[in-house]
Amino acid sequence: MAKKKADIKKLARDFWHGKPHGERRLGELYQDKTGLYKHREWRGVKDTLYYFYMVWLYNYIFMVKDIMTMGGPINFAKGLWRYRWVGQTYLPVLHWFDRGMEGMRGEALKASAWHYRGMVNETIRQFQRMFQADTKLHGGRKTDAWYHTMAHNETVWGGIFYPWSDHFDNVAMEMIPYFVTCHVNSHTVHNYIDAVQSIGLPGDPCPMCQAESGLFVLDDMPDYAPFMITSNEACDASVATSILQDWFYDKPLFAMPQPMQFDDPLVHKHCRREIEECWKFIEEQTGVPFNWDQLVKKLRQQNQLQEFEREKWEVAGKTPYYPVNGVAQALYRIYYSQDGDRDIWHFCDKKVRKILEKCVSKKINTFPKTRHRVIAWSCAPLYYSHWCTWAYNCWGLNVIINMDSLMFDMSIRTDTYDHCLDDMATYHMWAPMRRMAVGGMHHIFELWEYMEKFNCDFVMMYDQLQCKGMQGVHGLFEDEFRSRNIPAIWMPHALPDSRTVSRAEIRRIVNDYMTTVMHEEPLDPSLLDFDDSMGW
Amino acid sequence: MKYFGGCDVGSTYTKAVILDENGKMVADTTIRSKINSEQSAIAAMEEVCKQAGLKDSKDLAYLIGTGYGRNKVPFADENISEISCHAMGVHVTNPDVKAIIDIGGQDVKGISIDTDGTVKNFAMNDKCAAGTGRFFEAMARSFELSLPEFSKLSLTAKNVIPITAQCTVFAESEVITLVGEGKATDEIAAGIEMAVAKRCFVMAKKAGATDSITLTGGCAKNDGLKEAIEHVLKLKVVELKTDPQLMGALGAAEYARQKGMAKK
Amino acid sequence: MKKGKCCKCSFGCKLGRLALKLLGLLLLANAALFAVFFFDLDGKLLFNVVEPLLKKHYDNMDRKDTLKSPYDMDKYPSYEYQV
Repeated sequence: MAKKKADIKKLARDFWHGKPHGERRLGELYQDKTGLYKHREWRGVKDTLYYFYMVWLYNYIFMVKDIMTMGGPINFAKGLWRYRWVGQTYLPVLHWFDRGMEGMRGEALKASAWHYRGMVNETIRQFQRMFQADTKLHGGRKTDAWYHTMAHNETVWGGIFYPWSDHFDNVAMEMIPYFVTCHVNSHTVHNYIDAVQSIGLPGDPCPMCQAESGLFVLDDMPDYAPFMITSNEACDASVATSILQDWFYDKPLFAMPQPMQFDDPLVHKHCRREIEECWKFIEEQTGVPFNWDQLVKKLRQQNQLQEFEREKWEVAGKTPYYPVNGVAQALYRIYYSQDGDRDIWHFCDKKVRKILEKCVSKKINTFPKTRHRVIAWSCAPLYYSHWCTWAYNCWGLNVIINMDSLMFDMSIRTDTYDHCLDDMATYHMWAPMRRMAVGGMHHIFELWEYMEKFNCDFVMMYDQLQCKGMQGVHGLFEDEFRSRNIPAIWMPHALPDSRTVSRAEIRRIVNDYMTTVMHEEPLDPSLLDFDDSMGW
Repeated sequence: MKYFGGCDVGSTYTKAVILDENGKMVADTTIRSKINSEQSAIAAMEEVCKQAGLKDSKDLAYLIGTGYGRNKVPFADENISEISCHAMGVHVTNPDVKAIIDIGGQDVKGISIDTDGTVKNFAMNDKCAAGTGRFFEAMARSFELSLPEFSKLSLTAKNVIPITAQCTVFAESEVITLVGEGKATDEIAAGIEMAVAKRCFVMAKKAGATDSITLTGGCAKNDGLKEAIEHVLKLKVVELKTDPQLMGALGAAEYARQKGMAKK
Repeated sequence: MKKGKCCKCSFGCKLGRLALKLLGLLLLANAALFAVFFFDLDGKLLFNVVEPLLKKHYDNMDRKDTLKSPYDMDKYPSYEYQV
């Protein structure tokens, strides 16, 4: 009788608060192979209703609203019907939320979901702009939007275009058709990689460049701008992409290649000149002069984003109250740093600031099952960016910070043109993956300083198998890990291509290390081994 | 008397060991793995139980499965990674040894052992056949020799012809070309041993091995490889008193003994 | 009963009934949406029905052979500027 009473009490408690971490058995929620849920997680009454109303329903409603207000449903329908990367990827975007937010509760759930919301809004804005301007969707006609859009590589920082942002919009060519699709549906990109290999490109160069080129080979890139700006970032493999883009896109092109070892002051001088030449090119193509006031306005707004980021890092490094999970931190940061200043980032930051202040003032331990504070270094597997969520749920590995987040740690001076250009040149050189992955040894070794700053005791070394840049320093890292007695897992992956190293293989490698070297037991054994091979 | 078992289901060979309460090995077997891991495990356990005078593996107080097919060992109480088992197996055989190079049929591992026989660190190459038992099988086949004959041949060489190809497939082509050019077969064989030794050196370094080292796995019986590793590592390779191929199964049985005795 | 009072009551009753009906519909819609959410019916629909249909469409689409487009490196000037 007493046992029955206790069981009922436990049931009631689990219903109201959600099951405690060790009892959740999240792995049993999956449908085999597909990654779909038998049913979504019950997180307790409060958090489940929050997730239902403020994440699931809110995002569905606002995605519809965004489509209606940014370009309209007809352009969206045309784009969806025409481009694989829309229809095969962006419809199941709420599942991307689900994967990133698995197991999360309370303030951590809220803050991370706001970051995701920002990325969704900006993604919709970009592809709707592409469709509005796309001659392929308008019977070859060049719309007004076409004349007022600028196309560029995703690794060219959006800030380059700030001086024209009051009249023009800049949209990266590969950010939405390639980069974001890998996170939302890992299978879409395989079509593009296979396409470029079918025209003779061997399989061993960087798959990022392969996928970006493949979009053009399959004629799956909208024709949305009269000219384009390319670069050789993150590394010279991008030059190959740019050549193919030049061939297939056939537009006036301005290239911004710079030497990879960018600490040389001569390189900085070259980069300054390159930015100014790019501005001259834009003036020539658009007929609209450079606007210094507009540039200053946007840079000051961007600096606000950077200031808030530093506040976040203070909390993340010194307390257990940081409410943003590893995947939201990494993706949001790299998205806005590369894309440039947009209203949505400020909107989301406002929401997250409120949550952050609440967590700090009320001392809310947002990830209470943290066993290890992890810093993730080098470039992450795009098809498994939510591995951090799995790692926390299964092993208590809490990814506090990652390399991509730390790359753009600078505010840009706006007092004089000369200072501004100096800082812009530096920011531009600090491209994703370049500064701390391939840009020189002492940048790569900033890892140790950041470990100390963020009080991390564990390293996840992402090991992109096709990146020749990092392979050269692999042994140096191993020596340092040993001499500093730092536990580190090397996570092999092939950036966007999930076929080379599957998600299951990544989990197996982490599991092996945690049991064999760390001698730890999993928090949730149901997450050790499951088949999500067909899942998004 | 209670008995404890360990079964190491490898890609090429399946090994099983039974220990008594005092840790004394009372039975062991090594059989060629079948394509079906479960059948391999059943056959090995039947053989080893027969040796120990037991009816079947249900008579064991505790049984641990390990290796590539560890999830397929029937009646196993649990399974433990082969890395941990190899470390424990070497530790109970020779506690002074602190590092292992395990060269199996399909993978190569460098394992660094802690003072209690647990793993301090490890590095593994399980993506490529180069430097594994498969590689030696392919090379011996090119020479039309058995593996022991191939090993003996390499020991007779006075010089070493380096094999430059990184890949097993290309290395086989390179060897055939060298033989066709009339190069001394013992020197080619010595070159093959050296190529594998260099790979092992990398694994050992990654695992942090700097002290006494030993070889486990089937390739540990290759004396030519042992000599080449000593030459590359500049360390004496400690020879184990027990069959090195049994280390995984022995380690699994030892874990079974520790857990089984603790269950009292 | 006085005539005026009867009319007010009737209007109030009608409003009340309408409000109740709306509330009922809202609750029903809420429950239905929650069921879709909780049992991941949106994901299942997309995975099992929508995505396969769209994939078939994309696989069978006529695509321009981009390899046939000529590569004229001299088509545009080299864009060099004095800065």
